[in-house]
Amino acid sequence: MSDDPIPYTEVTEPSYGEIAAGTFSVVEVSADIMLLRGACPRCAAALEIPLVSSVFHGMRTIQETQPEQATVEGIKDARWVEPMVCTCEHSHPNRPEGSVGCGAFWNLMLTMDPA
Amino acid sequence: MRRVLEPDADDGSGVTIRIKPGPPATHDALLAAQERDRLLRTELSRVRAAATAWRNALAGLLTALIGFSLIKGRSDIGQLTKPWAVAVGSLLLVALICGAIGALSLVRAANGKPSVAPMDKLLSRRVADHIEALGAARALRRGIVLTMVCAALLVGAVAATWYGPGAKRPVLQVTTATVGTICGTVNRVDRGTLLLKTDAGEVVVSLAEALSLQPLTACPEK
Repeated sequence: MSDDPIPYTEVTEPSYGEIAAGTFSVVEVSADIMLLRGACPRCAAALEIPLVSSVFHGMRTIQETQPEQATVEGIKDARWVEPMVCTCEHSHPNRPEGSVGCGAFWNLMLTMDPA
Repeated sequence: MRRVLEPDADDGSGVTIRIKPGPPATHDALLAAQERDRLLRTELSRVRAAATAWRNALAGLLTALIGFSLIKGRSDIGQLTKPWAVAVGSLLLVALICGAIGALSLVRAANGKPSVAPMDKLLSRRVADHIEALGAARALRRGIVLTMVCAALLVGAVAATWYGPGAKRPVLQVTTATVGTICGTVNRVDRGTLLLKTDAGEVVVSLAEALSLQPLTACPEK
């Protein structure tokens, strides 16, 4: 088996979501911040993807358009689709300047509901 | 609180987060995910750059304000009536407090604060950067508001010092050929004579003999 890194390609497959759903975990840092941790289903790099309710953007703050993500305490049965992309910093040939990851992207469905 | 939620697991707080495969991803999903990553990856450096720019701009504003106050009007609050002097002193005190907190907030936003964290409390670097960026943005907003309040209070204090009522009545210095120079407050002007109240008592001066009349804020020391 070759150890050459896989080239950068913006690609998605149905299996990516299924693989990621089985390997990712959620760290709830605070009421407004969650951290998804898992492996990229394409290049297997370890990923840490923060999900936040707001972000500094120039001299204005963008409020998250998905209020379900804003608070854990206030919303007990929120459900939303989270777009994911590989953000590893490993070397992948043909990666455009300024980009990160291997190009794999997929969707996860996150559901927050009472136990 | 920081807790790890496994897929399909109850975290003990009564909330379960389940991770399932989502619908097929589109190019829009790719762009959204890349934009989210780009915003978060550059968030801290952007807020630091904004804070540095604001710090420099506000420092320039305050410097210009100090230069403006050098255009002399009255500059001693001791020359004001007591209520006005107390008001100006209070304005300057609040301006000083606002300015100090504002300046420290701007420095904190531009440079962060030194901190030592126990290893077992360390967050993900990306999450820590995001939390620091939000803290820096709050400090930046606080610094901007307080610095502007400080500037407004300084302007108010300078204006009150310039235009507030003086504690002493203005005096008039009269020079005549016969009596010489007399200085005092004007008590009365009557039929070509001037009644001045001087340190030596009331003096009547004939205006016809006056060689010069000079209004002063205070009589010169003898």
